[in-house]
Amino acid sequence: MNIQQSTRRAKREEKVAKSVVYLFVFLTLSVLVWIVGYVLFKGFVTIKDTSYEVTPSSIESIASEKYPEEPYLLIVHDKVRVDEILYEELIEMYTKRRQANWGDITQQNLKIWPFMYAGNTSFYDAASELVTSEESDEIGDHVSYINTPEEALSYIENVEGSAGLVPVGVFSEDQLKDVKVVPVRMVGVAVNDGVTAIIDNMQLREIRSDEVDHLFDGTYTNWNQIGGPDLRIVPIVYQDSSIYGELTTQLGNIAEVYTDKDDFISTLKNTEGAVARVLFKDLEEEELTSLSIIKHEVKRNLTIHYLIEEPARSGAWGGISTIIINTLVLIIFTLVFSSPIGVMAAIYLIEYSTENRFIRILRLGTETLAGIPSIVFGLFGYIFFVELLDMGIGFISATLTVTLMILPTIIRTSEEALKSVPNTFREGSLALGATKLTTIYKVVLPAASPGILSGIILAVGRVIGETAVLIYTLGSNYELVSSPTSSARVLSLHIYNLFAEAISFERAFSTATVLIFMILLVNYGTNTLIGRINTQQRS
Amino acid sequence: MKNDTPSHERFIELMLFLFACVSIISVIGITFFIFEEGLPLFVHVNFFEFLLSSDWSPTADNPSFGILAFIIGSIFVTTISLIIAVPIGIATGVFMSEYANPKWSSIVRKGIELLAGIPSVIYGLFGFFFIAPIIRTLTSSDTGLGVLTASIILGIMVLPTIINTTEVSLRAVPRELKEGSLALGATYWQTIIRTLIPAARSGIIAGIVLGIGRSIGETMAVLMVAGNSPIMPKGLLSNTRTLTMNIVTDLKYAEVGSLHETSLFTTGIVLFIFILFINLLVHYFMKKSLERTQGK
Amino acid sequence: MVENNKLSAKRVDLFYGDFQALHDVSLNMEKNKVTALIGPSGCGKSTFIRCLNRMNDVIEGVTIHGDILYDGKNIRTDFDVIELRKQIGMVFQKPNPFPMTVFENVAYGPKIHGIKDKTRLDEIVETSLRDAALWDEVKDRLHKPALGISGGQQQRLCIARVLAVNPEVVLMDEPTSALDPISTSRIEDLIDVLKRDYTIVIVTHNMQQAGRISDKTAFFYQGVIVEDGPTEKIFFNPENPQTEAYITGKFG
Repeated sequence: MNIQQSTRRAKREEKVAKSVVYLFVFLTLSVLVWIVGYVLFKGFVTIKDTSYEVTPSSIESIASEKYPEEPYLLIVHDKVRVDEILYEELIEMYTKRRQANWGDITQQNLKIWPFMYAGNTSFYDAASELVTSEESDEIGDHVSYINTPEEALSYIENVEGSAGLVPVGVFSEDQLKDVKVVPVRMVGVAVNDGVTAIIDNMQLREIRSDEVDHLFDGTYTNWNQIGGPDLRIVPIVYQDSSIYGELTTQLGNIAEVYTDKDDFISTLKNTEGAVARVLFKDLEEEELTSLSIIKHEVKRNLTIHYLIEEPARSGAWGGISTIIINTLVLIIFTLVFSSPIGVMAAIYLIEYSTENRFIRILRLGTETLAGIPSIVFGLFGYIFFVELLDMGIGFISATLTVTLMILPTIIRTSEEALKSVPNTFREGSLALGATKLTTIYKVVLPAASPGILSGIILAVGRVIGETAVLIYTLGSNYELVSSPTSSARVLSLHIYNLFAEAISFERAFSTATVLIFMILLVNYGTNTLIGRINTQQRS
Repeated sequence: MKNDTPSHERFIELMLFLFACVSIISVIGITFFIFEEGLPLFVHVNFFEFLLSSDWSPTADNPSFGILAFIIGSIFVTTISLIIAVPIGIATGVFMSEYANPKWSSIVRKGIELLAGIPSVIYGLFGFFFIAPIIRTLTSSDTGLGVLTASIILGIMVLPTIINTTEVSLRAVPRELKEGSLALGATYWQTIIRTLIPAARSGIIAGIVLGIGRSIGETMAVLMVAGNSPIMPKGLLSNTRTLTMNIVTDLKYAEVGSLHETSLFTTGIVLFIFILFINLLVHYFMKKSLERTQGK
Repeated sequence: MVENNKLSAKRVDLFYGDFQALHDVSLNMEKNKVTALIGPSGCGKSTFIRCLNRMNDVIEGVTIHGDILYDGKNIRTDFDVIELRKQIGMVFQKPNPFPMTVFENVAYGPKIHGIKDKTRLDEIVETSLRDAALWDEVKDRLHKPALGISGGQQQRLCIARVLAVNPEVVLMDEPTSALDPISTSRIEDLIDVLKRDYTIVIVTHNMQQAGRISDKTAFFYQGVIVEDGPTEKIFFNPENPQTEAYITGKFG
């Protein structure tokens, strides 16, 4: 085969160009997959490092040092989605002047109703020692006092959001079987002052949770192995009959064991490089230096609760149920206004008008309207509907503004749908003596309906995604929309607010996930309809 | 209309006509109110100072309203976004109309539809949490936010527009041209680049201009990733504020009826004029493309 | 005489998917002669001519059996498709000038084949346009859009465009069907001149045209060559009754 050089060059050029084209297509598709995948992933799963004062290990039965033989359990109401609690949260629950809310712990908007078992003075003393600290030593007014095991059980069953410390001893075994018991994380890591000294602008403040054990089992021998000063690690342990006893079971065997507490504390304070696990309470009371514990957490983000609970605290707590409903209501009302107008405008343009200058101006109007950015619609809605017509920032202003915005989409797709109806349909009907209107109503519209419908669904997609136009026409009230003038919040606005006010990025992503599923649904809907139109035309 | 049309039909026709006028009336209404609200600024502020100064301090004791920085910001961000989107968009359009078999073309088309349907706040989230950290790692930028990140996000957002118009215009090129070129011994690529794309030129340009319109009018996504500092952008990594961002940011705290509020509508006028101009361009190129494909 | 065959098809079958459009077609096309392919619409003559420079490669679902030889070599196995098309040019039914200037249209082929030199291009454009008998009409508007000239001129421009690549064979697929009688006769005159330097294969549904310009004629019917031979013989003394019926206008 004899191939000229110019041909060879052209073929080489084609090969290169084609690979570039394929590369760009690949890029486009991978960008899409990345965006959708990233948002969905972040929407369903939260992965982050959180800094705690305590280690991840938690203990169910806790006891105060004064009454070591009286173990307590923290029992909570069944609806509270908590699987462990931090010791500081437990203290706050009882001592905060304003009643605490589970929202801070589990993001569910539910007041905490704590109670104390006060069957006799010693029970009361023991429990109050557990739930107070030096700084927060007053038990709040909202705490109930309960005297019998039965009373405690009925309280925990009947009062939503209730929680209480109860002595295990007073219950029979069966009584606590169906009650939700929450373990408490109460162990901190205390170190000698020298460990956290600032050296060369570096300071050891935090330690990864999986490294804690290695401090005690000899894997690490020098603090500089984990970013601290050049000091030997001296693990020590305090052992007595109460909770401290439980801690020792988790230890390796190289630690030095102390049985006298004062001795233990002073060793910790005076030995260079010393480290020990101590109760969270002791960190404060003995003024010990501690290391924060970084825990790598992988959690489910979007849950069913998020979909069905009402939002609270600007969306930080609760879910998005009302916001989803608001979104649907906005879609429905926008369609109620825009689809008749849009479809009828299209009917006029296709069925009645003859091509002249005026019709061209009408079409130019539609085109121009389609090109106007949503913030300009927002400005117009704000000045015209909100201020001039005095409808206020609220549902009706937003509906009307968005109606104008999606009108071009509906007009254009309806026009296309009407155009694709063969003229023979019209002629057939007219030949039977039907009037033009009857023909349109009985013959043309049914034939064009899948196309028109797909245009309307396309418009739904636009409404779902709109944000800029709504900021100054719909406002940001996340309660259920109750009247035409009430301010409301829709999903896209909610995402923006969660983001802009830095309320919760995780929640921004889980809301975005819901939005993406809606968009997928819309796309699926249009594709199905268009598929149906195609098969219809083929048959 | 013939005279024997029943009167109720004529009434309905009138109704339909009125509905058909809603769009144009809205356009006129929007234009009127934006101008009516925004023009009074020039009673107090010099027209040229407004356009040519980049000092934006609307709430200062001696307020100053210069939006040059935002105009430049809008143009800057839009330009870079188009530089990113145009080659990729045209290549993908070429792929869909010339290289892809029906199966692939349908897959890519569904993908593009999805890309077009993703709300701009989600693009914003993606830009902030995914693109910005990458930019932060790769460059000297502290936050990763700014012109470049905004342009990348806008580039992705305008891709569907450019891809679709490219594909449609290429498909509208008569088959004879393709065969004519191939019959001269041109490779398929030479045919695409030297015959098909030039023949589809007006349509493709109309798509690009449409993309410019989308890019310049986009608000939420840029708001979340452009850094939003009312300063003249100095480079790709500089924070910036666009016209749309200025409106949405300042309307939040501008006092009702104040000169500050008026100035935001004036910003709207500038944006609106940009968009109208772009619309006219699109219209022009579309018309030209239609003429071309329908012969002469 | 056999050595004088520029192109010859040997037992060609062609399928569009399941549909067989050509059945066992064999035909020799001689050097510096005009071979006309005639027959009613849909008889496969256009399909056949498109096989000769592998234009059917563009269409999906086409399968071809049998061999086509060009200068004794197989166009499928012995030629690169690009090289083949450089040597076997094609003019289409509808004038299809590219949406660019007259000059660029003619220079298109030489340019893609690597000629960059401006004076050389000017030379090629002028020669090709002269050969296509169009030079005098367009020399003042070389740099105006090609879509602005008349249909007949456009078709001659397309011929010039093919000549600019310097082919040996020119295939013409009903080149005058979209043209007025005057333009048609000019193109026929042109074909008569061109055959001195080129081998020409022309598809036409115009009997008289085939009679006027061709040396050899092949009559296609339902994907089969019913009869082929010297044009005078086909027209005045056909062997096959179907041929006679078609020639005399009884069907088609």
